[in-house]
Amino acid sequence: MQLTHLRSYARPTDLDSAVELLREGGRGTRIMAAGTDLVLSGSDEVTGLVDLGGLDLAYVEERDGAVAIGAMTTLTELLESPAAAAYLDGVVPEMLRRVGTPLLRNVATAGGNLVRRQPWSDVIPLFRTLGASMRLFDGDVRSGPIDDLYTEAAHLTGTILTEIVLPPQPARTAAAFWKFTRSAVDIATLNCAALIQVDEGRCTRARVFVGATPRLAAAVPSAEAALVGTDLSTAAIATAARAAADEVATGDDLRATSAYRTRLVSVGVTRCLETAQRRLEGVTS
Amino acid sequence: MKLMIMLTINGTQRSIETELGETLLEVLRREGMKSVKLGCDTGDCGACAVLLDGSAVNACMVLAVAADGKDVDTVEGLERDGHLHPMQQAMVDAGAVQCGFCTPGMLMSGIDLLSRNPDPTEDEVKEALGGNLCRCTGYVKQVDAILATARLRAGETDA
Repeated sequence: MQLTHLRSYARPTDLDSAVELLREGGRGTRIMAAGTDLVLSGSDEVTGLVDLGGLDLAYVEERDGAVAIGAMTTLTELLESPAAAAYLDGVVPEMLRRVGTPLLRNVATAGGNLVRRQPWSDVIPLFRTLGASMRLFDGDVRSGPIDDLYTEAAHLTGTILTEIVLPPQPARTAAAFWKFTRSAVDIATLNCAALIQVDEGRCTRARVFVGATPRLAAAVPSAEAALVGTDLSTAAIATAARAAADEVATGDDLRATSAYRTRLVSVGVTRCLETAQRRLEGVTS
Repeated sequence: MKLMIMLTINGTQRSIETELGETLLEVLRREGMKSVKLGCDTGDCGACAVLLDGSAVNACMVLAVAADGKDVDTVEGLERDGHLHPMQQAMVDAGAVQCGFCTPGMLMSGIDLLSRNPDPTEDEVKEALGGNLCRCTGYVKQVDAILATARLRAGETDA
């Protein structure tokens, strides 16, 4: 038995009841999506669960170039959805294929992955790179960038993430995801996502995120700045990769040393940008 | 805290008393489903894989209460009229079983795969078995067995 201090469990069928149950439950009552991460945590602090499995929040929909993802959509459902496959050359399924194993992806949810704020999350760096937004419910519907989940000030007690939206992307935009692992199914030793937009041969917008450093994924503004205005030549990409390696603070853990991770930052940023650029060429040729 | 949940295990509805923090793995073994193996208990090895509403999942990572009202299928329900399920027979024929501890989980992953993708490539079978660890024979014979099952099914459909 993993969660030995559990005293209450509820699976509400509407959002208002869910928020009410969270309020009544107080500190030890947690929102549960699939619960995979929560079960493994074995946390003694968890005394109550409000399971979102009874809400109608598992869907993936194309909406005018955007992709709307219900927070309870499993990673498998997202991976197999035509809407995700059609979005930016399938960069989302490209990332999801590298997350855990099918047995995990069949239960773990997109919303749970974002909200648990795990430093090794592969979903977080890619979705932040893509500029994803979210819809929240705390009695009222609110929306904002998913970036808000990762600020120090994030205060989401009693608030339920209901939907994630990947925004429509302008023409001549491409993205890529890269991950280094010790084995095919291990969590990331380091991961990286990048997005570039090009107009008349020049990069007009760049987003680069690096995660599992081993801290939570963060943007790499110096690499982004190094790319904008360039022709994304091999030299320009190398400059951005060097900037990223200089900027990203890496640390030691059982998977790798800080020095090794710094090398990985450079490799990851380079590979992501090269892949994204190849995709742009594929679109333009 | 104890409470009652309802599970449809291999087609039979059962009302089961469960402790609130228990995993689906613990409950299924107590209900006699000993094909569901306790391996790592951390979602790494796949020995406890079962079908939950048709999808293969690690039973150690699912709270039993969260499965309340759902369908669970295990190896115990695969046999029909005294005959092994075609994938079980294919595993036997391919020599895919040594100690047998990982086999039930591999079967669940294989059955899930063929339900989504009746004609998988070898790579797709390997990817589908990504969450199932075998420490005896390796993986070649299991992959062969799942491919053989797909071919057998295709042959039956053609006929």
